[in-house]
Amino acid sequence: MNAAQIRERFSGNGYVADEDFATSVELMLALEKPLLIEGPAGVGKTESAKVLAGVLETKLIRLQCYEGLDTASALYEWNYPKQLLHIRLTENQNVSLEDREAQIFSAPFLLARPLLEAILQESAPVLLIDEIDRADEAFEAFLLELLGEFQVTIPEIGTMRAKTRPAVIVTSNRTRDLSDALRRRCLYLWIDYPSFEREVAILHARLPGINDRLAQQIARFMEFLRAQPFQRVPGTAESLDWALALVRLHREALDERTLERTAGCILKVQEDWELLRSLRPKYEPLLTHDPHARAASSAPEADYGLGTVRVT
Amino acid sequence: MRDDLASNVVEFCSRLRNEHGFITGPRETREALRALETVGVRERTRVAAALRSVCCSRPEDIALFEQAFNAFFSSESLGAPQLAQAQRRTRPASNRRQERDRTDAQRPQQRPPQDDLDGGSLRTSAHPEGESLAESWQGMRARYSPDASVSPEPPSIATDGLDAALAEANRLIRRVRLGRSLRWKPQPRGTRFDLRRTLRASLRTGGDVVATRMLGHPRRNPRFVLLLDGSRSMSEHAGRALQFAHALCRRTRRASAFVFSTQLRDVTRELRAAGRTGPYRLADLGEAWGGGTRIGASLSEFVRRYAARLSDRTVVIVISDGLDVGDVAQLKRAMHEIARRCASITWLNPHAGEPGYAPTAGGMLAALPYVTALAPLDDLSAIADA
Repeated sequence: MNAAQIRERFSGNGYVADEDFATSVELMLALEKPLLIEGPAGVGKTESAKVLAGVLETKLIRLQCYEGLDTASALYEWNYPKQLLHIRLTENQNVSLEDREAQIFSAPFLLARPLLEAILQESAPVLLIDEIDRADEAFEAFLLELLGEFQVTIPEIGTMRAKTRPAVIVTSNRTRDLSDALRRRCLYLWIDYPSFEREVAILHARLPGINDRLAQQIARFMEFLRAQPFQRVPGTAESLDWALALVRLHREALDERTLERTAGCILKVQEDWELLRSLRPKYEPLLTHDPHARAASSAPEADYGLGTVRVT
Repeated sequence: MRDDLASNVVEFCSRLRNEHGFITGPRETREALRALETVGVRERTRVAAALRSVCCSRPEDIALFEQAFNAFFSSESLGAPQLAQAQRRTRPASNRRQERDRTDAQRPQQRPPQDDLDGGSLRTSAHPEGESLAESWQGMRARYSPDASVSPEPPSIATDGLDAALAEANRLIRRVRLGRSLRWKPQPRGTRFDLRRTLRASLRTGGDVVATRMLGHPRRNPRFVLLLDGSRSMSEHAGRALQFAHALCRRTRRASAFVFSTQLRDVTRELRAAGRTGPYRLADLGEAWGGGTRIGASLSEFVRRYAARLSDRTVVIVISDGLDVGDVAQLKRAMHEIARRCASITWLNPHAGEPGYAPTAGGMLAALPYVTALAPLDDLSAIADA
């Protein structure tokens, strides 16, 4: 699959891929190396893995990292209740200690967690290791063996090797620096906030019903917001949420009142709301001032979807 | 033709390594070649994208890579002639980011027209396009005031008493306690059953559990963020401050250090490497060293770009005299943000130990409400107590 095909298939799945992205995915598949994706929150890092699984028509296995993640929840765990039961049930049988041990430490007693599951698959899945920066450094070191060799050693059973190499996507929000060793094992891609044109394309791809004027207005407004010193800069995820909210509310254009009511879709911290309010003179030219908008603002407070609510 | 391309790529990778400190070893070089095999060499942008994907490994690398790529592959033919004269355009994506990375005040001004990344005008990544016209006047004043005409001394680390500083850093790392992590680890006096080890142990007694094994939460290790004032007013104490930063960075990997004057710069790697291969000195830090002080602007840049380094286990240490010529409100906001996200802020003020000192400087006064402890530069126990 070359980059052009990748772009085409991704857009078929509602993901607008630029050339850098397509090239990285192409290389990741060709070189069979993990792809490390970094970028601000909400620019579609996780989504890209989901879409990749759709494009490759394969299973997506996701490992969400968090502080305190250990191998028992990432790789495998023994099924202790089953083991205990088995020991009790076979108590009176004349089986040697070694045989009993071999029995309870065999595959039926093994609970495969995401990483082991990815290795055991018959056809190569997409393995998403999400927010690796949240796991601690010890876990990162453990991942190295996996990402380098795609094999896992279980002391009681032995080494398990992947039948097919999974396509691995690792994402990071940069809450801490990853080690060079991990970086060297991965291809690297930085996804930034989308450009105006790309954001419009994303809005159209994700919300086929949206009108072009609204999409452009949203993209223009997001471009403005991202240049402001907000604490949580809204990403593409926020603009999609917002666009969806506006479409659901049957807004054809962005006006002051709509913005006030829906700002919760884009700004999630109270201080950011205050900052937005103080920026009003700056963003006002981006809003629509047509008579309909004014009519809407004279409507009663509670009757937000006035005239547009369908009761079924 | 093949050979030309291969040797050019090898040369390019080694240049990235030697001149820009990339981690492009033999394996990356081999992979760069394989990558070009995959994408072909017809389109310049795709070649750049492929090499970037292989050679870069952190966001800061990207701007450097663009510079190096444009400089290298415009002068030397890649082996495929159409590539050399193919459209030369600066990459919009990375430019946009650089633009955003600069402070707001600098934003609206136009950039140098095009191709400024090509050829001679190479600059360091911290200020890729040099000073923009809109730089606020404090910065201008500091840089062009009469006494600034003497170029500042390059930042060097004081070497006397380095052993003592290292020992002190060790003590500090050990003394800071942050409670326990969420992770479960085998501990004899843990609070939770370790089924796996208990079961394993029970096999020896024929399946009867005799001795239990337990899990507990291990101690959480602190991270350190050092924010060093590198302005002229601090120059007297800079050697000592850098020594402390160097000692801390050398003793633990969980420390990062930033220097600011009118701009902010991450110097963790430089500090860590100093003295190992070369002298106890840092390379030119540009506007992050020896200029005026804009604590507010620098700290809010820190919040904007590196807020991710802060967590509830981060100990922030600011070393500054608090003499600020910038916007006090901005400093207040930045301090608020930092305080919200970290475990504690210790402000080491070189003048704090002097008799009769009172924190009256504008910047110091603004920052004080957010500071967990204000201490003189020599008193590190304050950090551990905070």
